[in-house]
Amino acid sequence: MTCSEFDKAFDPYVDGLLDPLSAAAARMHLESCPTCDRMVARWQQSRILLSTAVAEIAAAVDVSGLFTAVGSALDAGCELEDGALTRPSVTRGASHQREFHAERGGVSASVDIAARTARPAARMRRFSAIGRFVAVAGGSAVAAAASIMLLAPGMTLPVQVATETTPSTFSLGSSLRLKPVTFTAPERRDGGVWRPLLPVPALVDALEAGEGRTVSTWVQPRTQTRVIWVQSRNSGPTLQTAGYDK
Amino acid sequence: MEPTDGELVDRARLGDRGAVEHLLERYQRRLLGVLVGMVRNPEDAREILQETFIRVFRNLENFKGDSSFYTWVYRIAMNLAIDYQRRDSKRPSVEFDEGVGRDEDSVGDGSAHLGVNPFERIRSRELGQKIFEAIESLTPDHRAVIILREIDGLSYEEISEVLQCSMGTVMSRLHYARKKLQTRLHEML
Repeated sequence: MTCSEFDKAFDPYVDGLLDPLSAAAARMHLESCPTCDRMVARWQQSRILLSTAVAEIAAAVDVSGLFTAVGSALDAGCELEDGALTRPSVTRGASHQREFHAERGGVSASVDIAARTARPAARMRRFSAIGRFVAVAGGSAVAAAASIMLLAPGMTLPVQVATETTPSTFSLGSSLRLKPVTFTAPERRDGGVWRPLLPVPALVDALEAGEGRTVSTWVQPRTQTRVIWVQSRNSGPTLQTAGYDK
Repeated sequence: MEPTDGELVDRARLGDRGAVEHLLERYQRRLLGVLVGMVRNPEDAREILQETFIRVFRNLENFKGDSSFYTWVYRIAMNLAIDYQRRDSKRPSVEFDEGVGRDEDSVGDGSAHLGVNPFERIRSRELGQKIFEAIESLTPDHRAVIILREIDGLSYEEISEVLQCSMGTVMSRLHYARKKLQTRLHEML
């Protein structure tokens, strides 16, 4: 083997990738060529220095909070370059509400609640990479139950259009026990409207709203909170709680 | 029996936070070593590491399984590191922080760190600094192949998958990088 040939075989040789015959030829060359032998020795020294230098620095880096930091960033629904995080679809919930409200002549406040429950499976795939499955599924079931109850026949619901940022109210013609869900979601500004990025339903309280009471629900822009209030005729809004009554 | 990457990825997609954590812990130290080799500064390396995992788990649905999971992760990490280097090349270089991970007071006080002669440690730190200076004389692309090979021990084929270039390119860059490093180190040492 010549020096030129060894130079071409240098990398697979030092990486131990030469076939046995070629490796033997390379070793024979090194035994008789101090220049090439010195080149290999220098490389081995450089390799050790590099590995040691990197290992010493890397070993000192504290990665104990890395999972928490990554999880927090994902939970916060940070903006993505590809915009992968999207709003939960409101189509299904809204259309359901529109069907109902076509009968009632308006749109219910529960649009927002139902909207957040739309296609929970899809949301889980998108948002639950860090374990929101249980929360989303549980919250969705509860919110769906609330929506169903709100939409029960026999109810008189003068309503107004619900949006993400305006309150929606409806009055109850009869006693209704419902279990509201308060959603906390980071929001982003999208075309001038604050929209939720990642609905994270969390069961708060059961709520009993008696006859003549007004239940309002709205999203507080930029506070990441949806609030449900119950207001009686003669007093200001209060948040009432009660046990869940099936 | 340890779950495979594929099993953990499937579970992570379904929202298993434990699977996410498992994957992260499986690769964080390896990736950190590579990133330190690429950018030297440990804080920057950690930041890139964190960003890597954020992108990995945000985009888990985009992982098709065409390559191995760790190749995909490495690809994201290396792209971030190379982008960082290209931005950083326009800024003054960061001084090697000899205090990182070392007890500065141990030099010469007789309480040799881990039983190593303090003068050897000084010499070792100087050599380490020279190594990084030599590494930084390489372009990001050349640095990437040498780091992936020497720090993480990836094969030529794996390197070509991570860097999305041909095997021939990997071997060519590796050969050039090694020669240049040897020359630089020979001049310095």
